[in-house]
Amino acid sequence: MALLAFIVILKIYMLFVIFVMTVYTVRHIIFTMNRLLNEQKLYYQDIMDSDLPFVSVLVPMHNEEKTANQVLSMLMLSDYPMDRMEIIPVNDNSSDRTKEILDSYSSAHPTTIKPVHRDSSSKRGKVPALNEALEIAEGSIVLVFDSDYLPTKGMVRALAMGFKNPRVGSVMGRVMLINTGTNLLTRILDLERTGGYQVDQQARYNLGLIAQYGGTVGGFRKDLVLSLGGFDEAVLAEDTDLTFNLVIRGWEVAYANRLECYEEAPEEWSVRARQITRWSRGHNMVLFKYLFPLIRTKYLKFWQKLDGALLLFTYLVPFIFLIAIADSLALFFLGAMNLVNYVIIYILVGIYVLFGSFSPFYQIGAGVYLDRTSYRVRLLPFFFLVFIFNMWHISYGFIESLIDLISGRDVNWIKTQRYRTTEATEVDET
Amino acid sequence: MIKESIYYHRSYRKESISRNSALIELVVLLLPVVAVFFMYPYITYYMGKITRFVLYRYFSAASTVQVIKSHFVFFDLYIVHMAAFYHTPMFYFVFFIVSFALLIMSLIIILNKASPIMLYVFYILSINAISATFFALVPLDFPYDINLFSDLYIKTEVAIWLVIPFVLAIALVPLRSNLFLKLLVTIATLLYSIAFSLVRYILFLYVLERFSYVFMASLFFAFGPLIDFIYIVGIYSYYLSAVSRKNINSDGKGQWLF
Repeated sequence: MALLAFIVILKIYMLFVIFVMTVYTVRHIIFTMNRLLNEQKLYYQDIMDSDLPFVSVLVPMHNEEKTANQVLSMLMLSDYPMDRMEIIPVNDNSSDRTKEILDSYSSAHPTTIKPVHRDSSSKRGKVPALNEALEIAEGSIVLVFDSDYLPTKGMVRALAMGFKNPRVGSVMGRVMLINTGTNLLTRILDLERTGGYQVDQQARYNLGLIAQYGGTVGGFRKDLVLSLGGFDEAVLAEDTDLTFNLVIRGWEVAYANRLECYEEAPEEWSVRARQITRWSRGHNMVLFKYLFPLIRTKYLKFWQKLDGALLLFTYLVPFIFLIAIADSLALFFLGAMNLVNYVIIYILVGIYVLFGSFSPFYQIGAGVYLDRTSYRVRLLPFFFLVFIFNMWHISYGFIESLIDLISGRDVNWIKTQRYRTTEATEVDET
Repeated sequence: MIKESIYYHRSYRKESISRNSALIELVVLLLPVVAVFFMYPYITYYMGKITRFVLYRYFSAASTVQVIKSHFVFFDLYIVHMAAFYHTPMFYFVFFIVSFALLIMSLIIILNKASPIMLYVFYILSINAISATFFALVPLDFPYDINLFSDLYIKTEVAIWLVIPFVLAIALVPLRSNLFLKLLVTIATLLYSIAFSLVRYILFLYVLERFSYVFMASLFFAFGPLIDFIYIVGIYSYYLSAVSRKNINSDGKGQWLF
């Protein structure tokens, strides 16, 4: 009798998994069709206005000697009036030449580049660094670039233009990879980003759903974030945290597909593993924090809430799938796996596997097609292996977030390794 | 040099396809479903015949390899029916030891370097280890035989053939490309799927007959239907690559206003 009840529970879980996968499949088909065939919602980059806000550009850094020079040089080439902009690189207790590089830039451009040096007495990590920089930032608009990003000449102006819409609380640009051609991993990450930004983010923006602020190549209203108490230092994904904190209060996140900014992707699987585990841990912490406020908020419509919830659950789904594999194995050895289970489960799971946990193959294909990149897309079948990789590490991140929730322990930020060559790091003092 | 024209940026590109032509394309691309639906009894019959012919060469008890009917949703299909055997307890014990040794080795490797391929190997070895434990403890309680596996495999593959045109239609209809080529891609994928199903069918039955049921779980879970979606996406990605290249300069350009 107990065995029978156990088998029934296992089968009910399978039905639940089929339901979850069907919902996500439909969601991504809608996104793909919308991005490919419907009218596109444009960002505000074409607005010309002489009344420009004062902008503070924050660049959090920890041991960034390989990248600091380039990001600062690129920002100094910006077409935004220098008397309306300040750059605040936040040196978070670096032990390499980061401090030296920042000080050298600061001496060359004292009115624009105002570095903040944090020592070991401060709490480490990107979030505390941002909070400290927010206290001294003078701009009404704050833009954030990670140190490995290469903002182009018009980037600051175009991002700032988004805030001309008084309902926009945050803006986000498109992330591109500068080291795509390095190896298989970077090529795969490029495809993942293409599906995520060119299709997913733009479709969500088109449909009036929740576009996501990604913590870099983006910005927010300083007073707004300060009124929310700054960034929550207990959460690793400060970007997703801010997104949901804003939308449940009726603010919009504007997505700028035209504002492409290049970043450096991990070149080793171990580095990627740490990065995705951190994302999963942070994203799931946001899930625990905002699921009920999202459901209860009066500022969002039903479809926005539904898609917001699906977005929150994104990093939980691979864990659900991992349990489903164990479930199906148990059913197999208990002799309880009938034909209907097999066929339905495996067809749906098969389709889902090629999601690579973020985008299904047709969504990535649509992004690549719109970008007119050609050869890299042939790597799509490798997403089968990427899915297994992501499932493993995202599940680990989910378990970590559960432990965080239960124990209330402090979270530590682990910086993503950089690969830029030394030739690109010479200090430019001009 | 003054720039006189500029190519439209990729950010807000979209395809222009009317509802009617999308519907027509959808109907045409789903025609192979009808073909598979009416032809699967014949396809499975010939798959069974070929499998029997190949396996006949390898097993002394080949006279027991038969092609029999099995009930499916609308029409009966054909499966290979044959006898398999259980190994000695010593074989299962040794297999159990080897499986766990390999599993522990792979675990040590992935704790240091969790590459996707190593994680997939770990996944296969985990299934193998669970199966080895089952067969070491209660081999005679294994709830399936080779014929049930044969039945399940063929029915799953037929279901996948029926699904392939749907999956590809969703992905192919919005692309700006010749409908005939899209149909060709769908048919080529189906033909590849049928051929690949046959090869795996022969291989799976050979492994089960030669090495016993202990490998059944890993064959189905690691190399079964999940693998089918890899080549579906593989063929799609090559086609997409070509279409993307062809359309690279077809988006027009604008003129500067000066």
